[in-house]
Amino acid sequence: MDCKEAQLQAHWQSSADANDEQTLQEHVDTCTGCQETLETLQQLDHMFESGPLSTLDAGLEPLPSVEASWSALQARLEQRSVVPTVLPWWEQVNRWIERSMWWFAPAVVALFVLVPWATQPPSIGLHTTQRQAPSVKTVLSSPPTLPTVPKWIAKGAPVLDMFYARPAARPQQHSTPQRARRKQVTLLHPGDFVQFQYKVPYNAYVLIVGLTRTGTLFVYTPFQGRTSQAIKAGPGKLPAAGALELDDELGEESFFVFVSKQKFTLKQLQARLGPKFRALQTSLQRTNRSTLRVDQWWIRSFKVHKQVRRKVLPRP
Amino acid sequence: MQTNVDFQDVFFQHHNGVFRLLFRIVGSKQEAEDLVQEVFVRLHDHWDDVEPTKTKAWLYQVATRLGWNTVRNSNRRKRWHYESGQHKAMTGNDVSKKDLDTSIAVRAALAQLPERQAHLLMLYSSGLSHIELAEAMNVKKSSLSQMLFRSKKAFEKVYSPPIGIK
Repeated sequence: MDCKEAQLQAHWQSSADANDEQTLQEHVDTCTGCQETLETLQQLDHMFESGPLSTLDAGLEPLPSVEASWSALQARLEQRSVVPTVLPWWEQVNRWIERSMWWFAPAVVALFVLVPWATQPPSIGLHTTQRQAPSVKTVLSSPPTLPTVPKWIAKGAPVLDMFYARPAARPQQHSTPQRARRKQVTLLHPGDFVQFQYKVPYNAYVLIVGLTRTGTLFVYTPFQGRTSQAIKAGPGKLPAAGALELDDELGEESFFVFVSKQKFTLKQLQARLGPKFRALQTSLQRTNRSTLRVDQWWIRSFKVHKQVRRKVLPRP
Repeated sequence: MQTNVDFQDVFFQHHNGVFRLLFRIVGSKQEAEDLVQEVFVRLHDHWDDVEPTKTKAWLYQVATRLGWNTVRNSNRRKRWHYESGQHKAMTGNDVSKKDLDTSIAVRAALAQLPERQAHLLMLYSSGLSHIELAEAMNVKKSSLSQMLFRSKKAFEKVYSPPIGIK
């Protein structure tokens, strides 16, 4: 028989089976190690009974009144559920200005951050393409291998898909890439990798744009470019090598993939769609179509929600 | 699902126990009172999720976590025993010198243990049954005995009673 603390513990607490008890007793009689363990158990129990831990209660008495504590709790709970009263009109206008100007500070910050950044030439030859200056982590981690596009049939509209994968603790070990579902918000985390895949029946031009909830437009492909990128008829990936690593801006974001037979610029898109970018998202979600046709463009959108990865605690 | 009337019963039933546990952890009455409120606010928010039979274990688990978080914040764990001792000296309660010294030594020992072991010993000394302990610690009842044994042994190793006290 092996010496096992757990069994001894059970023996000590008299919760072991009668059968086990006998075998155990026979074993303990011959084993000095287990005898020592039992002695330790005895001493420990004695020590905890005499209770140095109970001295932690020193200074506890008198206990606070439970009634007072209950009233305080009631007040606190009620305070949380108070319905705001109707404010006078000038207060409402004030609040409205406060609410609608919330974008001002981030916009100013973004202006200062983005302007010098946008004038830099796009980084070429980096394995991982990303929107922000690469961090050490980005250079070290390599993008996941996303599934290759299967055999394709050229018929009508282009097929556009988005895949995403989560980076793992160790490099080269990414989660299985998944395809973003249409009409669903894809939940992503900063640091996730994203790749777009297409099948087009003709040589075309493509531009992938991200629209953040603050209304800022980012060009993902070609990276930081302003003009569409040429793609050949057939299947392919964007970016062709690697994947985009998402930055840590949180909240809702929409990706739009624009495909056209003619070369086009972001300026042309903005002139045509203007403030309707958001409406595009909605109409794409409402209709049952995966791609939408506007003038010369085939458009596909993906709605994502970026949030910090949270550690989920097990329920008690 | 538990009803609204029960909440008050649960509060009155467990208030003192939770308060005692929190006081043991944070060593300050004021802070313990604030945390008790927080614990019961959380219970109120999760009322429908908590199984009625496991309410006590749930409360003690949340209380221990909150208590430890408070202690851990701003690196207080290192200074923990010292501060709580001082606090008590300031409150002017009738605390014997011997108890005060012992409690300081106990806190110093607990602060050296891995958090989970200290956590378990706190709950153990609060008089939870083995089933409740296992629930509150999220372990099987079978592995609890061993965990408890090891925690006790670890405590005994680091605990040195103040001079003149055995």
